[in-house]
Amino acid sequence: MSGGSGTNVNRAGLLAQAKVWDGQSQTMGTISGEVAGCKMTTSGWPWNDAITAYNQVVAQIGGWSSEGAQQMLAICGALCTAAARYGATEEQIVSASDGVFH
Amino acid sequence: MGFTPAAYDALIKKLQDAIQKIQEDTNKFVAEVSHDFGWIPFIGGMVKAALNKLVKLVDELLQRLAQLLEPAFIPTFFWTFGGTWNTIAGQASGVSSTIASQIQANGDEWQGIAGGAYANGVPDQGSAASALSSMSGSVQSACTALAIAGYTFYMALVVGLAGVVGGLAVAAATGWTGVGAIVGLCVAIGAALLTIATAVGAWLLGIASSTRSLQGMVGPNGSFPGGKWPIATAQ
Repeated sequence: MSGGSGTNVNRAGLLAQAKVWDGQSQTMGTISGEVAGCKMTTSGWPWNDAITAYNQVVAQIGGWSSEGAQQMLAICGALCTAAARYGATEEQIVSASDGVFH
Repeated sequence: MGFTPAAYDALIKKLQDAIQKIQEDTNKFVAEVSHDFGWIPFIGGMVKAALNKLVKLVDELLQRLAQLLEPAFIPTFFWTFGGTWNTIAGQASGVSSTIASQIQANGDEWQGIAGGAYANGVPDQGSAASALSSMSGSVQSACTALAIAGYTFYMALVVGLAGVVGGLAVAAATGWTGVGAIVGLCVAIGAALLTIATAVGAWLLGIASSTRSLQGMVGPNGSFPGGKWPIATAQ
């Protein structure tokens, strides 16, 4: 359908894309959890330097995964907002965002 | 070198058994020889001196081995985590390609939403997921290399101890055959200590190399401006 801004947008297309981003956000959340589980909580000569560096990488990648999950969810949210502007129902938005947005 | 948790456990068990065997055979040999010759004046003194030297060297060897075996559980952690990193690399790669096909299919619509803000920010999401996948692959490689470094090291210890284990087993079985046999054992233990020192050197180099590779992943990365996952939407 035609949007108010004069650009061609498709409501169903927006919601379908929102759902994809929601799915990717969930995968990034899964990754974030897996990374957290990879932290080394043990130590011992001569492994300590390796463990320290490894845990720094774990913290860095864990942080990025979590931020990535949030960003992708934000994209899902923005698409849902855009779809709402073009008349998407609450039910459709809940479905597209796995209940996060409505 | 093929690392599997089962092969690694078996290797460590073999090493522990070798240590126990060294301890037992030394005790047996010393008890037999002391019993047979310790009471004879002069000869007994000479035998005791040789035995004391042997016992001191065996103690040194066993203490060193105990110290080296203390962190033997750590390589298994690296191996297990390496498997998880491999999974993570695959998942992140899946996210990246899903995003890429999404953008390809809907590129025009992105331009239409929010004045193109997404069109600029969205592709960065795919690049970041791809960079995260590739980095996870590198972490997996480092983890695997660290696990294998442990395996290789303990394998070198088992090989290096074979002469000592064999020599002591023969000594314990045959008893006294002369001071020369004790001297021979001392020489074998000295050689084993040298082999261990060389193996430790190679081990430390291997660990340091993987440590540097991990350290190189920490810090600035072009796919994560300012050390953060790229922002996709207007804040």
